[in-house]
Amino acid sequence: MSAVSATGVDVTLGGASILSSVDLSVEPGELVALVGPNGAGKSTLLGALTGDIPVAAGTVELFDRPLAQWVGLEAARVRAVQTQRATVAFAFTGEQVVRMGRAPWHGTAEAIRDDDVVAAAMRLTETPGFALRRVTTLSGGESSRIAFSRALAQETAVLLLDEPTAALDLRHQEMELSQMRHRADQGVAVVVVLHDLSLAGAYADRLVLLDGGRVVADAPPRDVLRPELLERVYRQKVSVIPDPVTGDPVVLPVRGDAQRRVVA
Amino acid sequence: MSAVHLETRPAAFEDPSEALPEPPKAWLPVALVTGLTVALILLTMVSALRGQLHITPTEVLGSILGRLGLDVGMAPSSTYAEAALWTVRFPRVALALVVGASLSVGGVLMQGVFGNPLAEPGVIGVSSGAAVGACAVIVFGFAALGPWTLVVAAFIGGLIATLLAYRTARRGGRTEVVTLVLTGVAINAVCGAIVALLVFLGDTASREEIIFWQLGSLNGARWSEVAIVAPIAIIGTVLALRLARQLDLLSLGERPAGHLGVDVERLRRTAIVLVAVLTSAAVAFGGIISFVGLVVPHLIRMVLGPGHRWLLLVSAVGGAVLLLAADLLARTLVAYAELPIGMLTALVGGPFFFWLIRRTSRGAGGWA
Repeated sequence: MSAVSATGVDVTLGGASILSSVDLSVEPGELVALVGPNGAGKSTLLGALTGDIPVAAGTVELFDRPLAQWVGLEAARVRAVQTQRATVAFAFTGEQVVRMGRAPWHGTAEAIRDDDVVAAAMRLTETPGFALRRVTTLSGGESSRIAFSRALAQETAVLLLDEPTAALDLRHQEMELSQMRHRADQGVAVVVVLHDLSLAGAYADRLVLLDGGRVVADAPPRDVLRPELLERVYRQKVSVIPDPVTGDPVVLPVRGDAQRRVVA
Repeated sequence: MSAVHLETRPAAFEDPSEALPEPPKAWLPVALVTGLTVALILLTMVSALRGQLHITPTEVLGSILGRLGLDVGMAPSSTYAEAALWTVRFPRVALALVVGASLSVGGVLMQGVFGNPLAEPGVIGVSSGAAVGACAVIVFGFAALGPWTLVVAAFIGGLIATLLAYRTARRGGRTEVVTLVLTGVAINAVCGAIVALLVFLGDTASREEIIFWQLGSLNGARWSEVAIVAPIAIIGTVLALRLARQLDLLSLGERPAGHLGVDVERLRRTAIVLVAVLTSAAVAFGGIISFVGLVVPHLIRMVLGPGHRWLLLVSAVGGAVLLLAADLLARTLVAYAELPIGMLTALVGGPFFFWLIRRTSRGAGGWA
């Protein structure tokens, strides 16, 4: 059984083909990172998985049931989504925003745990300090952490996250990824769009490398983070070295004089 | 190299000692509602006392108790006083309360669904859309639906204006301040032109009546009007309260709200119809009274925060109090003359709007 799956998905926006015949299947307990250069279709694929972007062809399923057959509230109890922009129209406090993640459970037996879940989700992102702050006064990274807490507080079997770490500092990037890893180890299916290949490689079970709207690789990090593949897709000379502590592959752009060797 | 060691990954960041700070001021909404209710009762008393015919507080109390079937011998000595209270002053107080509440609740809903604290029925042009409908009824003398004709025509005008503003100004679940204000300018201009045309077409009597819409006045309020606006205000507020949780979620944006299980399409349809109904009912009998729906929710948001449940409830009471106070001023500020209440609210609300625009455009991204 796959938690989230896309089969032969095509997406066209304004006449241009953004995704063509994309297949993706994520099992419960898997952490899958979508990577690729700008405009490769990562966010579009995530949008197709959430149902925000209509597919021109192919099917998207949540737990082997087509997305269209899910009622909004029912889907909200199964999958949480973090979108790229985390702006809030009114000056709610951080705690109120995280608590909004509990909305799908309103009126169910789960609701009695709301306070504990919200507090725990905020501790996990080191945001209790923002609990009483107005979210409109938080920095980009800070509101992004609040948005991540909100997704965690939703307590769903599937997490779909679009570049959650884009505005985060080193520590909080690691913190969010280790939290995703932790959730996946507990059986949650996580799909996350990431730009940092080393970060993706260190935590994900599988990397899905997109280029020009197609999947060019879908494999464990070690098989995707190969210089020849990355150089072809990113048009940038890279070296891949083992992490001195963990041995995970670390991707470094080749700099300095070597810059002239950038693949044209 | 071996000196650098990350501990087991997930646990490294957890610090269970860091609990959430206590949310302050749980009693604040209750205190605010209580204070506003007291103000409402006091203002009602004062409104009943003030006027050309002198009536004492005991006479007012005696008259009310008398109507409730308790004859305590304090009833007004003259039948004039009794008549002045029940056919002039009380219906006017009642109309001020329900119109104020309708405008204020309409403002909160509109701000919620536009995702912008500056959205207000008067600013956006919903009020002038409703005025077009009402003026058409006056000029052409429609009466197909009896006393409801005016309200229904105002509703149609208001709904068209709301939909137009919504379609034009909203992008991706948010509304830029500039777009919002410009949309309001355009709609108000078009509606103003249509009203001018109607004034041109109308006879002297209907022209005078149209002037009434544009200035706003609660003069000559009748129980029959209260009987139409009151149920709309009450039912509208109750229905709005049922949307409160979803409106909270909508402030995250349309898609995030949808991901939390909100049927966004249905929510905004309901909210827009409610705004049009509440505004039209108020405009049909009070004329264009602007800025109530802007000032009241904003002040209450500053005290209670943006959560829609309390915001709607307290705004309803606050709007009623504000309009009652404004009406009291309108009819007592100048002796033997009646100021238009719409002019008064605009005189106070206009500068407030200026201040809000300056403040929000300074803030991050233009959001209060």
